[in-house]
Amino acid sequence: MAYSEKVIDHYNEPRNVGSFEKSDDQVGTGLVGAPECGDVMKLQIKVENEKIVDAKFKTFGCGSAIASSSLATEWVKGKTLDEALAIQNTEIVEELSLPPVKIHCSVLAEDAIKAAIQDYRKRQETSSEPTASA
Amino acid sequence: MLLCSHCQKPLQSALWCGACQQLQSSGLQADDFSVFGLPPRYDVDLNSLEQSYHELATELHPDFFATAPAAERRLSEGLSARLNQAWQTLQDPTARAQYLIEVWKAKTPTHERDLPTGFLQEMFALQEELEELLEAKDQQALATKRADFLQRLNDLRYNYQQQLIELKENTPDTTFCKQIQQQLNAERYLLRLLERCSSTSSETDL
Repeated sequence: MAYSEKVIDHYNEPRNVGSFEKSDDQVGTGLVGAPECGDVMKLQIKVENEKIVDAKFKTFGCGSAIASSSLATEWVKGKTLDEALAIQNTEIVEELSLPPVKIHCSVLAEDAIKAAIQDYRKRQETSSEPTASA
Repeated sequence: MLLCSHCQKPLQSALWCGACQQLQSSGLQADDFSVFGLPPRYDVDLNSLEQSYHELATELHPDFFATAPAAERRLSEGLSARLNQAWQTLQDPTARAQYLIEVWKAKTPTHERDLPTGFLQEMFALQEELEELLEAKDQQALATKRADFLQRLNDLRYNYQQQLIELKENTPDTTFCKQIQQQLNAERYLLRLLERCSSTSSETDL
């Protein structure tokens, strides 16, 4: 099966690999998995004033999953949280020309973005209410 | 009980009537268990399953319908395909469990991506550990990890297989389906870890 040059490019030179300190209040962490294949993906965002200023990822999976998450970190940088939430997996499929059997990789990346934002927002709520008994 | 569409006698297999030797067009939509005339339960006698498979494969074989009318020939091809697919599913312990879950899911909705609490975090941590060992080419530690994962995989399989066997022909509730689905999901993550332990290079499938 032929893979697009963009997948190969992201796979050979993944952008933003690494991690942030999970307990940092500015950081949101999304950890997701694809039961179809056993891939695991961690995507983290660093937020300042509702804007994503930096992003990191680490993915254990196939090249398409790595490319999808690498691209996702590139795309979320500079976006507001709401803008990042609007990113659809179909945009990733299109950009990377993913074949049908690899569409779940793009779904994983979209889920990871959403999970990271959700985690960030949850932390903001709890840290702004120090006496919260949630 | 399924009846033959020609002679109305009870069918052993949903695909073919042993009494009047007629192909059953309704067999194209038969579920995997009915293909072999089996009740939908997990414990299957693999020897008699294989025997039924070979017998049916012979009876339905398109070669024997070479001179038959085109519609009947096509039917023998379709039923042979149905038979092969059902055989592939039922002879494999994991595929058979997943198939049963799919059948039940139609009745009781389950979340198919569910995992036990904390499982994904653990898998991620194990993948990171494995990465270090692979980079350090620590063959001994890798062999130990591999043995651990294998043991865990075997325990997991044994556990859900026992649960499924004990269920017999009862239709399970949502909680049961969820438990089995979680274990089937976990199985794939464990298989992935095992695969990585065995890979001597860092090559990845694109």
